Amino acid sequence: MQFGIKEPSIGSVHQYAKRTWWLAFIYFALFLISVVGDTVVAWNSKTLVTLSQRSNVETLTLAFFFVFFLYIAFVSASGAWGFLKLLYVFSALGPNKQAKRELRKIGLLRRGRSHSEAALNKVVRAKERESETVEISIRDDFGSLGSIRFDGARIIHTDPFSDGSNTLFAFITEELNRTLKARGIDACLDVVEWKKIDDEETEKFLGLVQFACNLEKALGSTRPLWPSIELEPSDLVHLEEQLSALCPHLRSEALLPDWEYAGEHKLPIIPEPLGIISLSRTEKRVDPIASMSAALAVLGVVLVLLVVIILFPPWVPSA
Amino acid sequence: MTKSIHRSASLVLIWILLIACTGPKPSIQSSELKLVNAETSLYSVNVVVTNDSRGSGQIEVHAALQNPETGVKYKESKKLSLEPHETAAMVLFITAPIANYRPEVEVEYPIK
Repeated sequence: MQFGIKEPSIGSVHQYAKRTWWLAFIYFALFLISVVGDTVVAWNSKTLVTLSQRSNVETLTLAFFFVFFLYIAFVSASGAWGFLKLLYVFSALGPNKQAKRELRKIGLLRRGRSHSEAALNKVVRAKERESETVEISIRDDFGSLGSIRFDGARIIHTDPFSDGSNTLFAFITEELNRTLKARGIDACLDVVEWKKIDDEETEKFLGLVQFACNLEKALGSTRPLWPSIELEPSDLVHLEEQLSALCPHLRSEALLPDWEYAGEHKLPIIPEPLGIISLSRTEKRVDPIASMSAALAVLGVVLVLLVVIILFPPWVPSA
Repeated sequence: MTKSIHRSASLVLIWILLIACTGPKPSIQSSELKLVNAETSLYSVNVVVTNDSRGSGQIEVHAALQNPETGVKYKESKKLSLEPHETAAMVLFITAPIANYRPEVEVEYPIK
């Protein structure tokens, strides 16, 4: 359920890698189904128009499906291209295949034009450090992927490939929660605002946190005014190791487009136009794997229905 | 167990809906060309159509005689209602100059 409406679990490097491959495959499948769908509609247009006109279904529905397939094909094309790039990258075999693959990825990637940012529910501080910011580099033997900076409740991925990924922030919070839990601290750290999705709300929230931090300093308070967590040096080392292990998968992910959306799930109990009762749930961020899986399911069902209607035409009144 | 019962029930329901709404699936069993009247150049095409589906509906049979020398096609069509798994015979009359024709017969559903 969580996978379907919000995001899959990405609590480990292995899960992150699996997610990246799934996402690439979903983009490719979306593109493929869209192209097949448009071909099916165009190739069988006479039959479908006849069926729609004779069964009192609006013929414009077919035009909608045609445009719908075309739109999905257009938006998923870059993802499908990314999937093909990944296949090319992973076709490198033989000795030193890991190095060959990473070098291929680096050759295909470009540096992002902006930083990726989000707001955490708690201020993150490092023990035994003077600086208010905490910076952890993301790098492995094949090069740097920028760094992660905690600045109060702000988390920034600086100098990322492509335009960065919000999923990385989700991974970091899950990782920190697990690390702190092992020390008996129930941190409940979470990302509450995503700048790529809603920059105004993110800045508004972070402004409030900054106000609390400034007030804390002005009052000379020994206890933090805003909920905070303190990271031990060992926590930072552990996180840096995890991020280093994640580097190959971050490079793979950067080959794919990063579509970040808020989500609204609606379940009309009494459908429109009455619409008296409907259940809804909103999410500030829906992982592309959840939103694209939903798009894939819808697209697949539409294509199957069209094919079934063409192969087994329904009864229609006599001409 | 409950899950698999639900799944099977859904599949059965979908299958019933598909059967209930389906139309005919006509196919040409045989076709035979005869010169009925040489004076009036009247040909008949005897067609046997079979409905391979549980569905019923109106179909249309198209017959064409193409003159191999001139390439001109002489066409005729006829509509027919088919019941589930029914085999029906029909005759289409075409007036065309005397020549060595080979009939082309097609069946269409839904009728466009």
